[in-house]
Amino acid sequence: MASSQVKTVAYGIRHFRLWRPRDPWPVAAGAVALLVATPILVVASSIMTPSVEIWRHLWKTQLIELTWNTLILIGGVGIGVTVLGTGLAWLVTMYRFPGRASFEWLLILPLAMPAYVIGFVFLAIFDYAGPVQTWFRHVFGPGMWFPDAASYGGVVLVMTLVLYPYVYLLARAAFLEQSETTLEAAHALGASRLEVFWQVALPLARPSIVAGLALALMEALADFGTVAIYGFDTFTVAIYRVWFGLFDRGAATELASVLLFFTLTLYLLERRLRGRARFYQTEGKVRPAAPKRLTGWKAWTATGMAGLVVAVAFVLPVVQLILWTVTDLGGSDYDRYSEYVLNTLTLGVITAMVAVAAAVVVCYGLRLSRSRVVAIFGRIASMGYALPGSVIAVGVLVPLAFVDHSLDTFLHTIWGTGSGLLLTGSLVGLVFAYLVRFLAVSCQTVEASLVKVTPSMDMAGRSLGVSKGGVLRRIHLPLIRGGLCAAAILVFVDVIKEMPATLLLRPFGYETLALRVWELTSESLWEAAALPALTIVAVGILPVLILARTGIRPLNGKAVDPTDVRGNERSHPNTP
Amino acid sequence: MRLLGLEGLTKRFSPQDLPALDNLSLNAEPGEIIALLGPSGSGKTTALRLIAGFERPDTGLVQIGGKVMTDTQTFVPPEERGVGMVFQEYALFPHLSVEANIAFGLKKLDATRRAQRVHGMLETVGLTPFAHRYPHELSGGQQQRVALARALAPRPAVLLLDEPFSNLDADLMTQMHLEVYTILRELGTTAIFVTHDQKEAFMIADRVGILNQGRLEQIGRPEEIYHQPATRFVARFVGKADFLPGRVTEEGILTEIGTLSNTPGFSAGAHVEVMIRPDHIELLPDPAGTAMVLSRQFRGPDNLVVVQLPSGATIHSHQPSTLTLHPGNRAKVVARPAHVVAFRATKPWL
Repeated sequence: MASSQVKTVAYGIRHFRLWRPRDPWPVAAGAVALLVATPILVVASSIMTPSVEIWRHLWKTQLIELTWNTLILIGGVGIGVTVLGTGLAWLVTMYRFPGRASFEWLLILPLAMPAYVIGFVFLAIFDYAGPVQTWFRHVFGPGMWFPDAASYGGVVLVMTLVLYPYVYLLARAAFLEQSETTLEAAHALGASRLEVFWQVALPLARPSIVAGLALALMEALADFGTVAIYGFDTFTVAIYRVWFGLFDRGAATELASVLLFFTLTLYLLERRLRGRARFYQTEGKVRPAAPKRLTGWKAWTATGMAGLVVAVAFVLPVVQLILWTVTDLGGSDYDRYSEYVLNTLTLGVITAMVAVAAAVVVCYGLRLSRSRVVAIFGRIASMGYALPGSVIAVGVLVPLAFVDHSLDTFLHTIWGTGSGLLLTGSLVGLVFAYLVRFLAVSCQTVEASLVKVTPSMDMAGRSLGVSKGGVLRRIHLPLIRGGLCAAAILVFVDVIKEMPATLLLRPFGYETLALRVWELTSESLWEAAALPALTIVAVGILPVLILARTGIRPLNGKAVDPTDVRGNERSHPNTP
Repeated sequence: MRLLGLEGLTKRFSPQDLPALDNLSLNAEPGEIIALLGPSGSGKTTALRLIAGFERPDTGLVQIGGKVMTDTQTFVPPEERGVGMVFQEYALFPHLSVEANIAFGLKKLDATRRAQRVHGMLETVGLTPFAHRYPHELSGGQQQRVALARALAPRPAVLLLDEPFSNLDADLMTQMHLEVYTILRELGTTAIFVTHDQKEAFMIADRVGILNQGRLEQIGRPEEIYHQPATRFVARFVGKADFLPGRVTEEGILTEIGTLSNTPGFSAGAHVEVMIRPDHIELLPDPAGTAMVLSRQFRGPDNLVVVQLPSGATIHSHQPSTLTLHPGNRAKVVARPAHVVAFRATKPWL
């Protein structure tokens, strides 16, 4: 009937909630999310409009090698982090051995070490000219064979050593969640500890392990510094080369779109499994299985294995960096160190503030709105963390260069003088790229604290005569202060470690710590690179400490959310 | 005069579902306390959210103090409605002291008047010594008093309470029922409160509205609701009720437990079902009686006895604590209903 159709249409109109004049929040959230999603969409759209000529050229020259290298890199690192991460997680959750309590958090320390830092340290130590091979030649004569450090194996080793904590953290959380009763039931049915691992614990933890694996592999794909100095060509290196060597933006964009395809696959995998895998927290209800005490040589073997990993992946590189720093005090690069630090801090602080502010707008807008459109943009915007910096740099530069160019031409016609490279030639482009890459980091943290504020708080505030903005300012922001700080710290640290996007988008002559590490190590000036690298590692320890202090300690069966630094005893006085 | 007026409020959350609220109309007079009573999912919380302005109805009108708040053209946002709210989990602001919580909605007053108002509210709810405490330092009952004071401080036209007592333990609940009732009466507040507990509704409200699947089945004084329920649903929801088949004759309604007066005025020959409440049934121990005791639950102040009639129908009866009837005993059933309530039978009875 006509009247029922009219009703349906009227229903549709009333419930289309994107635009309501009194409600600017969802609109603002949608706008921020769309802005951040633009570079991602730019790169993605180049898959839809391939340039045949460029592709033919890429196919002839390097596409096959790049794809093969990328696949074997993912394969090697994937096996490495899964075995190391899962094995160590099982060891520290199921067994008691000397130093276990310390190893629980020591084992996540390598997370503070960017792959390009440990990469150059290992290269310096184990390469032909390095101390180890020199010593071997000295002792056994010049004919002594030694594996090549700057090789596929070397890349896989260093990446495994710094990326396994992703798998370790998630697998450990999963093992802790498996209640004692489940595992005891398996024991009671006659399974040995090893059989329990293979038949019960591992299958139960599989979603978490695969999610951790996906995160680790995203980092591996995003890496530029390590593969570049090891001479192992992957997409990030190729993008850099065609960008700066050939000034071929078309080819760079097409290469970025292939890399985007790889990371999207991982992203979707992780997303699918995230629903089932819980991250750093466990429910308070289950009693984690009691660890079995190891004795004698078994105990010391366990300590030795865990200790070896920490020593190789963290202690050795840090000690080497300190030694080099001391040797190189007052070296040629020393005078400008404070300038690098200041530049790096500037970028980190600006981006952290922008990313937290944007996250508050997006998360609060999503909280207030039921709009599908806003939610979809939000989802796309949150993909940024999965994308390599080089892909994002390409996606940022194309639209910004267009804006710059149009503005410049426009001002030329009016005033006779142009604006120059207003966006791409300044920090704006760089901060924007960081925002695209790290908005998801701040959003996740802000949202995690925001969901803890019950919706009745909003309603209580509104019914007491306070507007939506007022509720945010007077209720939410004070309550989630801790979460905001944590979000800012996480983004700050990520910005400081970031290398490829910085390299592609920095204003001319602008130097940061990460860029100095790259420039000095590509000229094999290891000693000079040590101080900036050590600084980056020191800053990188911050989030690890937050994680260790709160998220890693669910030993009494009750984990605290790592985002809630302030503790939440006040935010829920009424829940038992 | 009406202070709050709801007309034909309907709200669907998705086109294919039944409406969460179906054509609700309701008026509240100044100072009146109305309870909306219903099982979960009956639409009572939706009704509150529509009044407060946290949801927009599909159709219908909300009017507060003579001003239209919601209709097809108008939508006044919650912060401009002058509606106070008390929540099930109180929703006190954990980062603010008791005093600051109460002062939260008083931004428009100047500092002196604000301090006066806060002081007055603290006194009303008896929390003056706790002014500088934080919510997590208070007991459940104290938190509830702060929530009430906070909601009442801006002198709202209407106070909405969403299951305000359900987080309290039984002893405290009874005490708070009385306290909240006294405070609301003292201040002459118009209040709508939502509950699933019929005792609570009866104790506090001037009128009780029964919601079922989004529809208002009946609204009236607690006595009316209990003794003269308009529908079977209401009869069952506000107390235990058994239904016995009956036939209307010239003398009255003929049932298995006697003839009851035809006060509802059914025409002769009609088939009806008579509602029987346990407190209207008297059992006289009698070895020749027609009813047989099936079970007896000792409940302290009284016994709940279930007897089976010759037809196989069972009815409940409240009996004094000192009752001597036991399962298997026979008894004579005497019905003494305060009001005869009967509904047209769905199946004819012969």
